Amino acid sequence: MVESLLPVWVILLPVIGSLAVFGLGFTAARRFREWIALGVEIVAFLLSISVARQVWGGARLSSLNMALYVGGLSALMLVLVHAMVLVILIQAVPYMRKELVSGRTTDGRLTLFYALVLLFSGTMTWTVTTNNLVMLYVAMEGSTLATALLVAFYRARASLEAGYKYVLLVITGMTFSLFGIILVYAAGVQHLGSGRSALMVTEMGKIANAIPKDIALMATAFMTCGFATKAGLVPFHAWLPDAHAEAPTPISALLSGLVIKIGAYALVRTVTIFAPHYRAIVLFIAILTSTSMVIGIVMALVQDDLKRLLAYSSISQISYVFEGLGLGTYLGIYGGLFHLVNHTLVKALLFLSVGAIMYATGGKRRISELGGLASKMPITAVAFFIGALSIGGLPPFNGFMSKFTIFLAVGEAKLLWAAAIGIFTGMLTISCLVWAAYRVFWRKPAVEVVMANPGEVREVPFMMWLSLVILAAACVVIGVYPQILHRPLDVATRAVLQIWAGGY
Amino acid sequence: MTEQTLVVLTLAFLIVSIFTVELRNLRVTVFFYWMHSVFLFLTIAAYAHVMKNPTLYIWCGAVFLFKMIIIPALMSTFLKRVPIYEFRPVLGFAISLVIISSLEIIFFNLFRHYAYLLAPAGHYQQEPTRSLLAGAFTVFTLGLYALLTRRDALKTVIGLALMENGVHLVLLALASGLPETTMIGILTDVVVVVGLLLYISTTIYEVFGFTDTARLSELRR
Repeated sequence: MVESLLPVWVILLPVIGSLAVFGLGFTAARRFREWIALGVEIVAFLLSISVARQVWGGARLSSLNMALYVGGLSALMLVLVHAMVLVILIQAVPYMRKELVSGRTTDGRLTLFYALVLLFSGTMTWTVTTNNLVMLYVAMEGSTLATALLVAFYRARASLEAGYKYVLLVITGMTFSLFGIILVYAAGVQHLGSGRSALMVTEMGKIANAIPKDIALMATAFMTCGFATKAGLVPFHAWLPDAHAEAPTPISALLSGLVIKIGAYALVRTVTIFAPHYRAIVLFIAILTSTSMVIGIVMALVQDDLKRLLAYSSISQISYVFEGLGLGTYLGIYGGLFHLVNHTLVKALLFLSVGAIMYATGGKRRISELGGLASKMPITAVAFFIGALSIGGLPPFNGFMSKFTIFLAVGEAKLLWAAAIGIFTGMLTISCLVWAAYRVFWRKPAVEVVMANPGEVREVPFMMWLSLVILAAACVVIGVYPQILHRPLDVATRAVLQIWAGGY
Repeated sequence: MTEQTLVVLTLAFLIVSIFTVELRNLRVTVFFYWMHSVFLFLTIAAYAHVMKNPTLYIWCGAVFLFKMIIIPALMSTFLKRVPIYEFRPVLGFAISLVIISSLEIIFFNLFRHYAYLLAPAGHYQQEPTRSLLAGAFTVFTLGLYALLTRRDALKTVIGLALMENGVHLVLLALASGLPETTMIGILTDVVVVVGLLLYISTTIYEVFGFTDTARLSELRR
């Protein structure tokens, strides 16, 4: 255990950056806000890499008397969060600039945009590094609240409705998880004594088997429902398609890539610790996720709006992550975390591709209004197609590797029906996404669409396709050479199992 | 003597909460929400006195500041911008009052009877914690009922606040030894949630011209 202040700085840096961007918004220096945000994120990314390298080298970092604790799992999430915020910000700069020029937003609100994205980055870092159960809840609420005004960013009717639903439903769901956390704490006090140690995530393993069965099942059911709301699983998903579709597209990528993953992170921190002791929890999560993945993808099949289609597909994919993590076995947690990383990369790639399409066509996102874009936007077309194949789970791409691991883990847990449902959903996913890609990029557009688009659609500028190329390359590299991620995932999985065994 | 006072206070707290949900004039509702907070404050003070637990008095102070001053102030500010009469809820006044009262009585007795499901140790299943826990869970269900049946934006926010108050009451009944930082974290969180929801509702009123959340259905096509 190494005492270090580095994790504190990774939290504080984006928060300070956020305040700086907000403060400079009142001065003439506000034209630098994009570059300040990018600069802060680059430094935060480098800091998180340096934290993670220490952890992967075998150390464990803790700060402020164990208030923050960075083990394998936190290190993985830390790098993922800052890498994704950075990649998404790279695309957000030209995208939001065009929104400003086209009059869909104002200068003042653009300042708020960058301030809130940085604040969100800080709350996410806090969520994945805190070692305190109640603070985990508070930090998750913080990440919801930081993104709320981003969802309602355009202040049009639809975005206000989406923002209202998002806050109300997610906060209501999260209140249930606070209930579960309180029950775990109150039960833990009987074994660990009053004070801070009963609140610590790292002490959960010691009490998971010791507290009364009724209380353990009650608490895990409450927590699962709360975290499933944050992750948008069916039947807690009502906010997700609206929020994803109505937010500015970089924010959709952020929501789908990171916000819903926090539900999975909280699940593996709490419920997974209980899962090996109680078969009922494993079954409950398997039934919940199997229902959710089928309904999610069936809803995606009938969507015409590309962003809603991707949002429903996220519901389906996050269910795979939950399914793996809920098993509580080495292979299950490994597969769940692997799919968590892969889905973050792929879904961000797909949403940013839609962002590129909207940038080039002046905001069109209905499949019926698009067509034949492949010749005009070759980079975006290839990127979207790689994303579609990967999320469908086709072999040379990363999605296949992680889904296959989850299927193996589910089979190992003797839940063959769940594996069958998973494979069936995978087939639906690939047909849904590839069909959408075909219609947008290769199908000859209808005459009225051509008339509405007088031939000025062209490939997006460098900063926009840069992030697409980075993410697409990551998908291919992880698919061809998955060993590249083995060390981080192995350390993360072992960290969870160590806590389960009562140590850290 | 004091234990009975606590039970009476818990019951009064529940009755005031029912009025908070049921009354139609939103200004009166906000006043009753303030009364609800006062009874929450008094219940916690009585509980602290009965259990001889001085840390609970810190909770009292925090509840006074956050729930009795800041949140009602936010709600009154909101009411200066929007009409003060609630949109007709899903259920009529009389029928809703009958349903909610009977539900609350049933829930209160159920929660008291099955206290072992909610209280992780033997001494929590004794009076007065038993009644306090039952009261807290009942307020939680009351908030959920308000969220599900009310259409007005302020009423849904009040429903959410009632749910949170129920959870906080459970928190300090079961886990009174929590560090102050976590307490401040949780209470600040509620204030920001209420403020943000009311801010979005104000903008909704400016754009749509109403605060009826059931008519927010552009996206349900």
